[in-house]
Amino acid sequence: MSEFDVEFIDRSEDDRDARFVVRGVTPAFANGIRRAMIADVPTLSIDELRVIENSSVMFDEMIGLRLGLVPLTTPPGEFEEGETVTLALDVQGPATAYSGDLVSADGMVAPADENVPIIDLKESQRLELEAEAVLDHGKTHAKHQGGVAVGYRHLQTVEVVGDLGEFADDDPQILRGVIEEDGELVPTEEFGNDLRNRYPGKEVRVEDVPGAFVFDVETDGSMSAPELVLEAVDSLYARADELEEAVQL
Amino acid sequence: MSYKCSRCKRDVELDEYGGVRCPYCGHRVLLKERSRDVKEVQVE
Repeated sequence: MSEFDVEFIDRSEDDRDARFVVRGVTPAFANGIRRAMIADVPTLSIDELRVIENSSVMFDEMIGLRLGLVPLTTPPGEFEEGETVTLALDVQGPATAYSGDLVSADGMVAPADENVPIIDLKESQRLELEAEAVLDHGKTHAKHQGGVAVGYRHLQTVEVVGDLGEFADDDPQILRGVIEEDGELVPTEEFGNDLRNRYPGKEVRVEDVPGAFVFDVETDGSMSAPELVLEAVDSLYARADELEEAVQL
Repeated sequence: MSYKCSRCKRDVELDEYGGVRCPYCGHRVLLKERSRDVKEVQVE
């Protein structure tokens, strides 16, 4: 695989969102990264419950389903696939059980968000359980997906080709994504996604930059967006190596 | 098998002779209590 370079445009403070440009890759590889981020990067999710007491209004199975969807922090490389971590929950009503009430046996693993409501408990209702979180892939179950809003677009260049005629239609020229202007990257939100605001009275030509893709990545909090991307690329390489070994038998 | 009377809320043990009836208040509606066992649930 040849070299490719990565340039960050945006990163949120908590590192859950990121936007970056990758250059020198084929569309197939770009899509491979996207798919790997969704389905191939393993994360921890609750997969088994031992319900000690559940006098709430919901069945154990329904509470299990909700707990399964709580994102848990998963430090990359620390766990093997199939490895488990035990968490415990004990809430006495009247109160709402939140994801933050889950107590983990492992210091590295905790709910990514503390404010996910699990169930509202009334007077004298109680929820007490132990849960096993397991490391698995997004292709096994969507609860194991690390990347939740992952996509990419072509990087585009905008070139001024002339002036608009005096009586030309003043139609909006909507463009979403990131444009490149003399080597500078400009998110289209800066000019309201409308090229008219940036080039008033000009006729422009928009073209894709070959081999350059703008990725938008958002994770569920189980790891940071840069970690997710690196894990995804690693998993692609691992699969390529696996294939190489398999065909050289 | 342990039940709870729905009227007087007392725990009721049923045997094969007494029929379905609370021995304390005579009420015929009994509620079955959840077992005290730890239940294992697989999250689908």
